[in-house]
Formats: sequence, structure tokens, C-alpha cells
Amino acid sequence: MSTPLLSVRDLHVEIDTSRGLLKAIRGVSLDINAGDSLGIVGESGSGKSITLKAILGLLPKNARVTSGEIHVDGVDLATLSEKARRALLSEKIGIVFQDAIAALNPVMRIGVQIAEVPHRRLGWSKEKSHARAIELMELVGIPEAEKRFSLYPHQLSGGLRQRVAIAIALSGNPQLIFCDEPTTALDVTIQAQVLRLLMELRVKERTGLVFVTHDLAVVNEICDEINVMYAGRFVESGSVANTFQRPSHPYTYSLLKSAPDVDHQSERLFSISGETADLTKPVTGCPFAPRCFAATQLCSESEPALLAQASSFSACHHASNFTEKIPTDHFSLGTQGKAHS
Amino acid sequence: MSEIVLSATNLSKHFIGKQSVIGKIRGKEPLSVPAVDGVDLSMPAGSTIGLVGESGCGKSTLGRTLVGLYPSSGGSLSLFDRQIGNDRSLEERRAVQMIFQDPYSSLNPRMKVRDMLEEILLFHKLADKESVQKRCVELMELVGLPVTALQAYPRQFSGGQRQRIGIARALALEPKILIADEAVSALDVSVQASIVNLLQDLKRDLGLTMLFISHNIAIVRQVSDRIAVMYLGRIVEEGLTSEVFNNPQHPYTKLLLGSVPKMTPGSKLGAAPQGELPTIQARYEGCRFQSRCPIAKSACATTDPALIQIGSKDHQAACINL
Repeated sequence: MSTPLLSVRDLHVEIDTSRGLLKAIRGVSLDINAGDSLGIVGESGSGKSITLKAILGLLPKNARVTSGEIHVDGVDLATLSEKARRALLSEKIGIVFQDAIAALNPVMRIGVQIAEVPHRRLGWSKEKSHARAIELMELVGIPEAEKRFSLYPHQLSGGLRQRVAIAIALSGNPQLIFCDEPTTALDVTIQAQVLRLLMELRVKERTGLVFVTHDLAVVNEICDEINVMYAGRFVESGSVANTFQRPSHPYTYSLLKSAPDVDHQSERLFSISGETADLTKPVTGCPFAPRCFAATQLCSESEPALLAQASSFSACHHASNFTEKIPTDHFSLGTQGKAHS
Repeated sequence: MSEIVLSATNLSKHFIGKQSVIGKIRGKEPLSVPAVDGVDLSMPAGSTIGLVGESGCGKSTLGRTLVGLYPSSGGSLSLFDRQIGNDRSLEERRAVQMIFQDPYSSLNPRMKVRDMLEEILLFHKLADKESVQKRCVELMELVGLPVTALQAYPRQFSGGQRQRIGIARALALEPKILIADEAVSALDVSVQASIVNLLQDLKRDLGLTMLFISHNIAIVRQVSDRIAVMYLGRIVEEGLTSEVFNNPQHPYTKLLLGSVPKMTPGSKLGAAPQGELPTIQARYEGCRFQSRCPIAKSACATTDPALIQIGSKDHQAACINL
């Protein structure tokens, strides 16, 4: 087997907060090859974005990687100097953030921002970088690229700004793009355009995608593989097709049932009671157990590992039989005595 | 057909921009933004109407004009067959209440939940000093919060719980109509589901009529009996939820529904629609959607389409090419 483009092994990240030390990521492993598309889903605070930031070395000052290995194209990042590490990462990986207006430089013309990487890092001439920027703007579907080259970010609409951000991510010819909720701030018709663009890039340029989102429907549309994250760990990983049809973790099941689908109207949505685990406290047992309909004594005593199941990997003691415990009366509960979420 | 509790006829809300002194001297017209521009909407008793559209189309402005937070600039509003103006009586204000998007900024951070509820209950004389305590407890039970929540400040709650407080505050005034403006958009999926369920239960148990404003089309489909699709200040399609979703008529509705990511296995997003929502102009020639419309004809540049009945169903759309 060839070396994966990106390989992460047992990554741990801690954050100093006013409430104490928060174990934001507690052992994350993943492999990505060229042309793969991997979705990472989870609720706010599950550690999705921190995972991406930890890989790229973009963690805030109060956070640090405490253990784990990151290999990019077979090279262990820990063995590199700061300068070499940044050079390797920026060559291989492009990133698109949720908020394009914050990611772009407000006092720099958009074309110049796109041309910066080819010019500064790849050492191309000004003219060649300029031409490349125009080419990229056309690739990401910015109409009248020549004319728009010298506009500033505030002069563009949200959809166009996100396209500029994608063009910048692509400007160094990366083999992998990290997307952190890139379409969450966009309208649904514009979201469709941006998702479509990312799908095309993946096919045309064989760019790998890591897509962090809370929107399961988006993952279903553009990813092949899914990792479901809960309390700093992956609790289920597998192919999107299998996981959506036969989830093997109660959390995945609950998430899928609680998300409304535009194709169906159901009587009631499934809701998950309680709140996410407080990671400033030590984790004993499965962090999802207090909210889980299938939890037993065992779940509060030992934390399950991510193990192979029939159709995917799942970190659940009851992965093979939790479906027997799906509450049938869940959908008929009244307002009284409902979960205090 | 059931009674219409709230109806808007040709309702509009124009925001007038500030005018410079020089502009005034030169007699230049001040900038006018017609955020809501001729909306007809009827809300049958006990129904939930979902209002969808892209950001900037005027959804929230319409909601706020219906509640009375913005005075309307034209058209008329009637509540239970009585005309209401911009100057509403206390009773008229009580009848229409709103739930806001942001559960963090819509609650006063320096007031305990009890003080918040007591203030409005006493002001509106819905309870006296003796009974107010009991009513507060009732409201907490209604929205599924423990009674101890009354003693706490908003910052002590999670997003979902704050939204429950926002709902309790709206319900304290015993409204007939609830306007939920992106009420669940800021919440995580699992919490979102419990708030949606709560709203549906309350609507049923208390016999409320609801306008559910959201850009999340999947949620709107889940909660609504009827759907209204808004584009640049106008409603372009309206009808029963099943009708609009299964048989969309207006090209904009088709574009919008086709853009929603789906949960169905193997679903692949349709061809990417081109173009974006243009900014609102002061005046339009012809149809507002023509710049993005795949079936626009020359007549669309001159005719402003009105809502017309589709077949014999409870369904209407504003397009001349139907």
C-alpha cells in the first residue's frame, strides 16, 4: 500500500481554559489518500475544528498537542524544523474557513491575495502568478475574473468571497483541502454552487477533501467516508453509504434521526437529551452514556475503543445490539417531562 | 376553511436611508429600500406557515412588521377581522408574540428569569402579586424547564435552555399567534430537534397559529402545514406544504428546493444554479426573479406577476409562464 497523503495517529490536544485543563481531543487517528473525501461531523465543542487546526499547527496559544504523530506524505512533522514544517504543510494542504471575510485580507486586492502563493512561495514571476490567479478565479467560477481581480473583499458577496478563499486554498496546488464549515454561512443556493465546485475539483484535480461540518445532509452529498466525533474522539467511522443506512453507534443513530430531511416529513424529530460531556473533568466510561438510550452499567465504567463492526468502526459496547433498545415511545412524548436540553 | 387569524394585504415596509444636507438641498430622493414590498399572506387558525427564502429577501422584516416591531409603510393588516394600524393596543400586542433567533442576545443578562416573567405579567395585568408566582411555575413546566430555573440568570443556561426561556416569555402573554424568527438556527442538531418538538406540542396544546421563519428548508418542511416562499420582498409561491414540495411551480422555488442537500443515500446535488440574490432595488421593471430565471421570456421584463391559483389545489405562485 502506498503512503497516505496525511496520516494522523492517536492525536491528543489540551486547552487551558478558565475552568481548568480541557482535553479537547483524546486520541484521533485518520488516513487520507489523494481523491478521498472525508467528512467529520459532530456537535459544537466536539473537537472537529481543533483537529484540523492541530494538524496544521494553527492552534490558539492556550492549546497544545500533547501526544500523537502526524505524517504528511510519509514525513513525520515532529522531525522537521518549524520552517520546514510550515513549508511542507502549505505545499500539500490548502484550507477554507467558515468565515471568508475574516480569512481574507481586507486591505489587499483579491487577485493579489490569490497570486501571493504562486509568487512568493513557488517563486513564479509577477506576470505568471497574475495569470495563474485569473485562471484560478475562472476555475472556481468567479465571473469576469479579469475585471474582479482588483476588487477588495468587501466589494464581493458572501458566495464570491468563499470562492476567492477556495481559489487561495488552491493556489499552491495542494493535494488536500481542509474545509471547516465552508458553507455554513452561505445561502442554500450558494451552498449548492460551492459544494458542486468542491466536488468537481475532487474529480478533476484529484484533490483530497477533509470536510468538517455539523450538517449531515452536506456530508451525504459530497463525502465518501464519515467520522462522527463526540467529546474529542471518533465514535464511528465508515463509508457514508453504510453509516447512513446502518449506523453502528447510538450517537450516530440519534444524530441521523434528529436531523430533518427535506424529502420526508416525520411526525416528530428524535431528540437527544442532556448536554455534551464536560471535558475539563476526567472521562470515566463512555462520554455519551448519560445521553444514550442503550447505556448499561458497563458503559459508565469503561470507555469503549473504536473497533471494527459489520459495516463500520464503532466505539460502543453495544454496537451490535443497541438497535434493540431504540425507544419506541420516544416519538410520542409530550411537552411535559421532556429533556432539558 | 378555518378562520383567518392574521392577514396581510399588500403589506410593505420600506426603510428610508439618511439623507445628507447637500442631498436635501438638491432635492434628491432619500435612499429607499423596500424590504417587504406588497405581501399578501393569510394565516388560518391553528396552522403553521413556514416562510423560506435567502438572506436579504425580507423574511425577518416581514415577521417583525407582523409583530409590530416595525411600523408598516403601506398596505393593511388585520387581526381576527379587525384592522390594526401601527399604533396597537396592549391587547393587540399580546396576541402576536415573537421568538428570536439568538437566545444569547435576546434575553436581558442582568435579570433573573423570574424577574423577566414577572415584569411582563404584571405590566400586562395578566397576574397580580399573589398569582404571579404560580403563573411563573406553570410557564416553566410548559416549556420543560425545572422550577429552579426561575432563580437563575440567562448566562447559567445552555443555548437550548435559553431558547426555552425565550419561548416561556412569549407564551407568558397568552398569544394567539407566535412568530418564530430562525428560532432554532443557532442550535446544535440534537437540541434543535427538541425545540422543534416543543414548539409543535405547544402549538397543538395551546391552539396557537405560528409563522415559522427559517432559511433551513428541511426544518420548515418538518413543522409547517403551509409554505410561503419569499424573494426580494415578495411572496412568489404559497400553498400546502405537500403541494409546494411535491409540485413546486415557481422557477425560484424549484431552484431553492433543488439546492437543499438531502439525507437520501446516493443523493447527488443537482446542477449548480448560477447567480446570486441581487440586492434589493427601490423599483423593479417586470419580474424580480428574471435575472436568475432559466425560463424568463421577453414579457417577464415588463409584466410584474401576481400570485395566481395553480390548478384546483390550495396552491398559488407568481409567474407568468405557468
